[in-house]
Amino acid sequence: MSRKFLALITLSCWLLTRSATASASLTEVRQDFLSQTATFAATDVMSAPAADGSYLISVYLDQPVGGTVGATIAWTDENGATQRYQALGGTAVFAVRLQAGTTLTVATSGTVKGSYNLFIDGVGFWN
Amino acid sequence: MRFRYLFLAAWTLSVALPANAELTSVAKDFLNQTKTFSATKVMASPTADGSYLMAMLFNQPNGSAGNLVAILKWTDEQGAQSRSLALSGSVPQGVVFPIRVAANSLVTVHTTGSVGTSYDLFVRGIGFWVPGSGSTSLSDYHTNLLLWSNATYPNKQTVLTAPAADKSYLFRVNINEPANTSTDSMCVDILSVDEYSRNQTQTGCASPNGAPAMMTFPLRVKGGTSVQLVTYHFTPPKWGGSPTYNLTVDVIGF
Repeated sequence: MSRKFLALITLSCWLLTRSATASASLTEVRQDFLSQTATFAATDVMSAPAADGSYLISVYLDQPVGGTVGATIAWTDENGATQRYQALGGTAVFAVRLQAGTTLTVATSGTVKGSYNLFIDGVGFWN
Repeated sequence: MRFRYLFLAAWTLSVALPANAELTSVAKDFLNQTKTFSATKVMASPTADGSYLMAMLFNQPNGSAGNLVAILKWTDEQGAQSRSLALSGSVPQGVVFPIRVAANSLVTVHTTGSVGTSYDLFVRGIGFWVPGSGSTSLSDYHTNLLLWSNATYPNKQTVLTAPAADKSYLFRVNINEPANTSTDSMCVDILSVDEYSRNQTQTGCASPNGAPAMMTFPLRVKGGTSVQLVTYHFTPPKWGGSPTYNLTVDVIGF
């Protein structure tokens, strides 16, 4: 294999690497709470970002008829203020500004019928 | 030999570099529809249970007297689910919501009601899979006004410019003020032009008590036009110095 050919492969590989990562400044948040039979206290759903961050967060809670479980998402915004969003018995989508070094938590409350699933998903936006 | 090591190093780098997420894109357009339509798949059935963030945007041209409902149906771990979006008049209607889709089940959309001249329906979505692996083809845009202390009014800032063809976007907007004793609420307008060349505005206002305005909405943007923002005082005059505020606008293009 000639040096020129190897150099070409190396260059192609580098370019591929660049093109695969250059466009993406989206990160994913995903935390599943499957088959829960009891409510739970505030639990982290992601690791704390190193810088203030912008997120789009969705909550999806499915439970059998008769269940009244709701989820409360809490976080600290860039002003140091505690913010909360309550998704009572269903779904929610909302925008979050998260202070560096802090995280998003979720807690559930209400009456559990059988079991329930809770899915916290989101996208982090980075420059 | 040195080139061989160089090649190996580059290959290793390409494998080891952290890609951002395995976010997948859902996009289904129903353009210039003159009739209602029956259940139509909007995406391939996932092979495993999956979480998605879905958006529907419903619009019709000026003068079209349609009175319509679009219904997205899916099946989650508990059974069949649906979400409706109604349209009447010339103001486009949008909704963003999460869904949970059972493996090998269908996600469909259909319309009911009476059609005027025509209508458009755009279904968009993001699938969430394993964080930290893979890459995404979704594009994104960001405009941040952090620790600002003046209204931008009457000046506008461009958030993005659509390509030559009409394009769909999902917006996430947050505006907040640190809790303060003023009664000065800062607002933002997101200004766009839809596929029928009509101006559209989405508005949110921060509260001086520290409560943010949190907005999520889909937009259809006419090709070649820009989406802009302007911030202003809720209480006139719109311009001038303000309490410190933070505005973050993030957009996903599909």
